Amino acid sequence: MSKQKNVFQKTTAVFLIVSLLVGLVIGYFIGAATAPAPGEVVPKSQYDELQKQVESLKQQLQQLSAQQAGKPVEIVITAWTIGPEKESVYRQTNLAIAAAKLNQIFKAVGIPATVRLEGEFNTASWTDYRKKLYLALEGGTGPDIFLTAHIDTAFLAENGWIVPLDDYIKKYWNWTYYDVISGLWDSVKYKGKIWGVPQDTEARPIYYNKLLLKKLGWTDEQINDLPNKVLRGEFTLYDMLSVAEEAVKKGVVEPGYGVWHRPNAGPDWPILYLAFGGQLQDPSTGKLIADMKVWRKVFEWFYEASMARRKVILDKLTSLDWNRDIHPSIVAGKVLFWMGGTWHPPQWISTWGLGKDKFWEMLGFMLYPPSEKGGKPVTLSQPMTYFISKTCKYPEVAFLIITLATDPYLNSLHAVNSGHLAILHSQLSNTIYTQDKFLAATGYMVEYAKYQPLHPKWGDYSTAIFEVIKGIETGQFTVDTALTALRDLLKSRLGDEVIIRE
Amino acid sequence: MQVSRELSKMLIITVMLTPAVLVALLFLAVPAALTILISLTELDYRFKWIWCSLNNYARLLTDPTTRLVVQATIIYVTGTLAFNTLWGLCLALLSTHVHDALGTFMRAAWLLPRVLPSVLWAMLMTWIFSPLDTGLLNSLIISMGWQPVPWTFRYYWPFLFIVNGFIGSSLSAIVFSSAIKSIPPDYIIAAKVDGASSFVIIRQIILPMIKWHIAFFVAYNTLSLLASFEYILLTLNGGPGYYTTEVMVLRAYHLAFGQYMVAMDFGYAATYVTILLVVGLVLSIVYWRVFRLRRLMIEPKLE
Amino acid sequence: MSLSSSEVVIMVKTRTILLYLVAVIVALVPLIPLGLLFALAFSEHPIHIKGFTLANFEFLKTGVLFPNDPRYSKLYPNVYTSAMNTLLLALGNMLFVTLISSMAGYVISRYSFRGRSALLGTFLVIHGVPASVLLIALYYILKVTGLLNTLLGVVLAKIAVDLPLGVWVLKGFYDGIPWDTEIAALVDGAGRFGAFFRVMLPLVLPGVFSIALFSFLSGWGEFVFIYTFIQTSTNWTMSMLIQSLHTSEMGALNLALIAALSVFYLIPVLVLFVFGEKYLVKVTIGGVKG
Repeated sequence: MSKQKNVFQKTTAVFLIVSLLVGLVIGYFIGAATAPAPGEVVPKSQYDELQKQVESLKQQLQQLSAQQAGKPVEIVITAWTIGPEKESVYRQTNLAIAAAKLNQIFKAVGIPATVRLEGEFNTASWTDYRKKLYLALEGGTGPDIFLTAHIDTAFLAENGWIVPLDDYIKKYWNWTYYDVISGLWDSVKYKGKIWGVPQDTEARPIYYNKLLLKKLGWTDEQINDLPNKVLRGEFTLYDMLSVAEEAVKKGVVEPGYGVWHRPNAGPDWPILYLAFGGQLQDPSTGKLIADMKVWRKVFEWFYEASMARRKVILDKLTSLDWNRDIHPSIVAGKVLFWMGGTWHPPQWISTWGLGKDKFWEMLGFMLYPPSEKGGKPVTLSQPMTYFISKTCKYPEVAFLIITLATDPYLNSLHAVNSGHLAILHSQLSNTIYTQDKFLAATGYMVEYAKYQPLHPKWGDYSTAIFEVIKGIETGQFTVDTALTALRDLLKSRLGDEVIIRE
Repeated sequence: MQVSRELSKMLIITVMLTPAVLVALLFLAVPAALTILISLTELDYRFKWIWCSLNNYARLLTDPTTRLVVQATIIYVTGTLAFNTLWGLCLALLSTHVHDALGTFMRAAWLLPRVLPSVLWAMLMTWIFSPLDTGLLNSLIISMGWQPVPWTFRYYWPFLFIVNGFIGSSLSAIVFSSAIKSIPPDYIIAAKVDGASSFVIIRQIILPMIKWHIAFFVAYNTLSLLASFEYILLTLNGGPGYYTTEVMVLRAYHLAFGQYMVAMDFGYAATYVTILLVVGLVLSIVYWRVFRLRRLMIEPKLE
Repeated sequence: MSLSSSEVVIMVKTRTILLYLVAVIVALVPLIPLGLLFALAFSEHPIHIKGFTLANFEFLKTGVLFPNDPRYSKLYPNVYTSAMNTLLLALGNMLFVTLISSMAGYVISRYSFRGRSALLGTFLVIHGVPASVLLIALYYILKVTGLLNTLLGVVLAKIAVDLPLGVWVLKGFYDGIPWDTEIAALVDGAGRFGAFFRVMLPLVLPGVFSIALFSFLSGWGEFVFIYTFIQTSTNWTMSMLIQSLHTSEMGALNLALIAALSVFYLIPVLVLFVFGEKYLVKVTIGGVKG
């Protein structure tokens, strides 16, 4: 009898051990199958790093929350941005998305706060937007985050309306700032500090009408080689004038429709001065420079192009309206050369009904040709910048929102839809960005781009240039009287902030 | 009794007059004085009172654009004044020499541009007279096979005279025609009986009898035109070209509210305005003397 | 050489016909732009006058502009919001100017007090000079009092500008009432205020109407104050909305839509003008002759 009990006990034991082993094996396989894929779990080191970086912020917000009897701190960040073109609305919406992301981070790290982004995207003119913005900033009722052109940096910094961001950028360098194309930081550096975060950049090419060039007798090869000729220094500004003059003479374009530019004040005006080799700012004193010898060359070019000489630039051009006259004429294929910006094609395509294919068929683009054979072409960029105002109660939170919006995906969405260029290296390999034919074709221009000088009185200088060129085109000035007018205007408006070199 | 009547009179005057005086003081007198003060400062978008005494005036004298601005102002005022007065006179004469119904209709029709919101009138005028092929006149001209005319681009002063003149001549037309209608009819009848033609009657009877009205209108309109700029702002905005139609008030407006980089140069802008205020004041005093405006201040009828 | 009587008659007749022809043409000239505006509002083509359609008036349904492009339409305020702002400005101007100037006009007309001539003279001088010269100072005052970017600030500024005319015109009307009327009322035991409200005011009703009409239209058409003092698009009036559509840097120009909005904006003006034209004439004459 006991032998049978022994066998039974042994069998049970074996059975138990086997089932235990089987169970372990099964359990192991089940576990392996449902285990998180490699990388889905944030490696502890990264998670710790994140915790460390937001530690000070976390402590601040925890303190605030404690003061509110443990309720999470409700942070409202106001942001004002502008197009004016509606295609650039991403400047605002990307901030909203960033705020949502920040909320998720706060939750993950256990920060007792919620962030809400409010504000508006403006389509008013730059003058009206700046008026509204400056008024609010001056009165202390301004938004926490605002977007404006980098050129405002001097103004904003001199008035103490913005917060310098060097420390934050250093702190959050690894999040995205290592990725920013380094040249862009120059556009926001003033008096040794960095004042804003670049949001996008652009280039200002000269568009040429391929169909009109064909009518002039150019072959497809010649047309497609034009941008390269500019790069090689074989096609100069005066060559461009000659081509335009020929087009007018042969009736391919109406007189005055050879070369068009913007009809109002703006960043484009110093480009030709730069093309002719002029210097705009003295690096040691920061004062602005007007080299009258170079201005003479610029004015001679404009005078040659005017209706008084080669009839290439319309005298009425500066009285025209963007919407009524300029864009419709370009889209209708009436203009041979257009000094525009990379954000114009999306406008033409979406608002003026130019088909994408028609655009590529009709228009090509190149840098501003050099002034002499063998010279270097130029263009100008005016990066848009996010700034944080001094009245912002949570500057670090605002900074984090901007940081999260400075993301290769979000920025590429904006770039592709509005015709602006990349600010991050990783955008250049982002699929949305690289798939865009136009951005791929214009990317090289950023290397040749210069910026307007950062100086509080730059606006007066730029406006004076525009006003004098306006006078040349309408036939009121000769080259000499134009030079006198510019000199007088600069002396009167800038006083000793400008160095006039004869 | 006398005392309480005096008191009640004071009370009534105060109660009924105060609102008007208050408003006039706060929003007319104070701003005028403030403008003069601002012209002595460097007030701009920063809203800081930085006194600089007469620097702005010195700057005005050396500013290369001043000559053009003053020139534009003079041309604008004299041209529009001439249009307003002469055309208003024509309208008045025409409307009083036809049947009263037609005359009233005519004056009413001409009052319409004045009553229209400025934005609409400016938009219509720029569309009609646009120098491009898309303007109304030019598209009509092109359809008839002629060359388009660069209306607002080359003939900008006539354009402005028309735009502002249509507004101003309704005023003169009404004033002159009511003056003409109040001429005792005997004079006219007597002249007609004597065989005088209409032209002679106009020249020798009507015009002399409304001389005062014409002179008053000229004086009054000069003052308004010195400071008028809304239609120039809405149509040509100081162009075309380099400061061609930039009158003084418009220059001040641009300096204060229309700069590309929003410098909001209030101090300098106020300089232009102060000069206009002074000129206006001087002219008003001259008119006061010349027109013996005291006559208008007939003593009150009650107390 | 003298003419026979029949020749004279023909000459006179032709001259009269010519005169009337010229008069009719001249009378129609200012109406032409208006007619063109209407034609454009119903035009099928956005820039030229062609065809007839009601499509441009789509915005009347909801007040939302560009309903097919949600992103674009969000950038403009609702048409009815702008219309309401315009109405508030016009009504505010009308009520205050009429009330204040009927009181002030009465006092200046009826009473003699120290500073009367000076006051009257000041109003005359101010009336001649447009408000444009005061824009800078007004901007500063409104900013300092916190009224910048508010409709109230604009209304106050507008009232100040239209007040001198109101005082002058109503004073003229009061001057035209024989003082016996008032004496009679006082004798009947009406008291000062009673005499004013129950006797004088009704007698100057035409003047009151005139000033009310004038100030309403003046407020309705106001642009420069809104353009200078208002920054938020929800505070825009119709004039600002139309101007911004006309000159904004983005979006193709659709003159037909702007014309349709203009017609919408213009209807009250035209109606009031047709019914109140003679009152407006009274204001014009009263303002100049005093």
